[in-house]
Amino acid sequence: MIGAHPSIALFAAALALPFLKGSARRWAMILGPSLGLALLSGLGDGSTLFHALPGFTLELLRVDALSRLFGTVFCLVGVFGMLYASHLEESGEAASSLALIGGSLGVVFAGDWLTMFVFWELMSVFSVFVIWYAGTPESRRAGVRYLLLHVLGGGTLFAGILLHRAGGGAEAFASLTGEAMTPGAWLILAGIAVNAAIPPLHTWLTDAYPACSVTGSVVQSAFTTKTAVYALIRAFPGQPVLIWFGAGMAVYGVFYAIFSNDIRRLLAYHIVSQVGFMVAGIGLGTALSLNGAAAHAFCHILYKGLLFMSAGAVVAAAGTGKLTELGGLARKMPEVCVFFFVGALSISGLPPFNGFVSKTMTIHAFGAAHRIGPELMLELASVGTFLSIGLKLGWFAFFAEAKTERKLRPVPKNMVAAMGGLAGLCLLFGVWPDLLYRALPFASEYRPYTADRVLGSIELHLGTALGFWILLSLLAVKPKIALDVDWLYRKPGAAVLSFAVALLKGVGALAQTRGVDAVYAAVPGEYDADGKRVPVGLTLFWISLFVALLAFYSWT
Amino acid sequence: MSAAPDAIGRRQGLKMTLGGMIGLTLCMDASLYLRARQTAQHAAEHAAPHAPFWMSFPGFELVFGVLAAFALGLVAKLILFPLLKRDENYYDDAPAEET
Repeated sequence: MIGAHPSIALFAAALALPFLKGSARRWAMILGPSLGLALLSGLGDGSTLFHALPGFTLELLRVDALSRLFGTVFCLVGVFGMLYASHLEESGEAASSLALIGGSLGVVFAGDWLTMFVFWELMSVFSVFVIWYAGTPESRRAGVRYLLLHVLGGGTLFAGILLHRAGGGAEAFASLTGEAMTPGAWLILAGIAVNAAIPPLHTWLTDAYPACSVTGSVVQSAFTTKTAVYALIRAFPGQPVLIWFGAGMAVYGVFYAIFSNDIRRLLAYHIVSQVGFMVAGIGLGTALSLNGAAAHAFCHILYKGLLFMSAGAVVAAAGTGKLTELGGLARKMPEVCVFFFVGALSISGLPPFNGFVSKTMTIHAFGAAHRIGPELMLELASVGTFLSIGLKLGWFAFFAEAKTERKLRPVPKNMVAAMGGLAGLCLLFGVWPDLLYRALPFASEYRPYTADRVLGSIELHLGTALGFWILLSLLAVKPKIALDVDWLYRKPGAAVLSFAVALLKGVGALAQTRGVDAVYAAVPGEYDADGKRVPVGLTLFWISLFVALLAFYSWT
Repeated sequence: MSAAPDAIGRRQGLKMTLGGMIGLTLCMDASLYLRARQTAQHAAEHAAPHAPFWMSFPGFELVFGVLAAFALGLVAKLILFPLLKRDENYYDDAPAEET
């Protein structure tokens, strides 16, 4: 078994699921990513799996520190995501999820652009199925919009790869920042930016993730954006454009999180915000900032999975994710409340949770490089993160008085166990950061637990809490949505489309009345369809003549 | 809305806890700052040796946190949200899809 591609385990499990029942299926779901992890740990560094095609060679399996780090955390969150979903009666969503994980592993271990692209597209396809398995009208529409944007992104990426190769660019999926940026490289960057949810290309995420099923959004939260972060670290380290896009999206996501009423939409906007930290770190391109981006992706996958799990538990129990209809859940679901706050403090970057050891690393990298502007923007985004997740979501869902008394459904045990597992990992990597730092791909020195860093983080959060306290009545959630870029294609875009359809219909109707009907009307007397019809024999004659001529010419 | 007496008590307790923690961290931060200034290896030990002087002031993060929370909250809720908010069923009257 040693030497096999880890994604094989995931695809095999996905294929097997529909044929399994009961506990066998539950075990297969969890075994898939576990086996992937085992296969990965059996692999040594280097490229081992090639497939030659006419004109180029596919490099299917390239293992190094960077791909190992992402592959490990993808399998880890896969195990817990599948545990969280293991009560599902129906195998389609879980099978799609496993295939999505398999696709993301395929991208991570791809050594050349073509392999990367194929798995990239597989991910998009299976993501759409995960969305559709929610089975609601919103999920169906959001899934279609997701598909359209990702087809656009994938097409852009593929066009970029073709241009890059046509211009004599290398086959290897490796850095493109060294030389001057070619048009091909810009297209590749734009294609990856769609999956990284860099505004204004981010709305597929905040549109579709809240529309997923409770279990689906947990799986979704981990893979698409973080695979894109991986691709950016590979292909565009030190691309200066990314610094400002990253810092900008970190703050952008926070604003929309403050607007959001739906808890899963709030968390989805925080994916945009957190990926901003990583994108900015990649743009800076120092060893420390790239390590920070990779470490933050690793930690983010764990705590964001945990946050979506606890939000999902709330949605599953209460039947709604709207903060205006929730409240007082701390007493009713104490374990979910504890797990939520582990995730909330992790994403906020408070010691001793894992966000602290990765987020401060990225921010510190900007300080060390004398880039005060982006550094302060990321600090601002940190404040907004704690403000909108730890304080706003935490307060209005768990502690504020409930507006309506609702009967809560019990949360399945496997969901609680999965939350416990991820919460444990968040704490483990926070308390023991060397476990993570040892696995980082670049050589850099950083110590998170110094007196002034710990104290600084605590001060920042206390200050935020004070500000929240004073502004509490202003920050109260409203049962409203906030317009985002997706308005462009959901309102004017849809209007243009329906206008175009109406126009075509109008032209068709006009052709009918002015054309066909007019001709009929011009024929004197009672219209007899058979009377004007060309006899079948004549048509047959022409066809036979044509075939005979064709045969004659191809013969000579 | 009239809060129950125990809610008022809880509010008081929260306020005192928050105040106490702020005071405590400020004291620790100030002592750290003063000690660092006395030590010869100030530059070597300090987190961000190249940072502007005001970033290493005791309580900088606290003030930054309060101001940032205010800025975010006020800009978001008083300027942006009134412009961007719509009813929750705003997109629902989109053309009905056929199933």
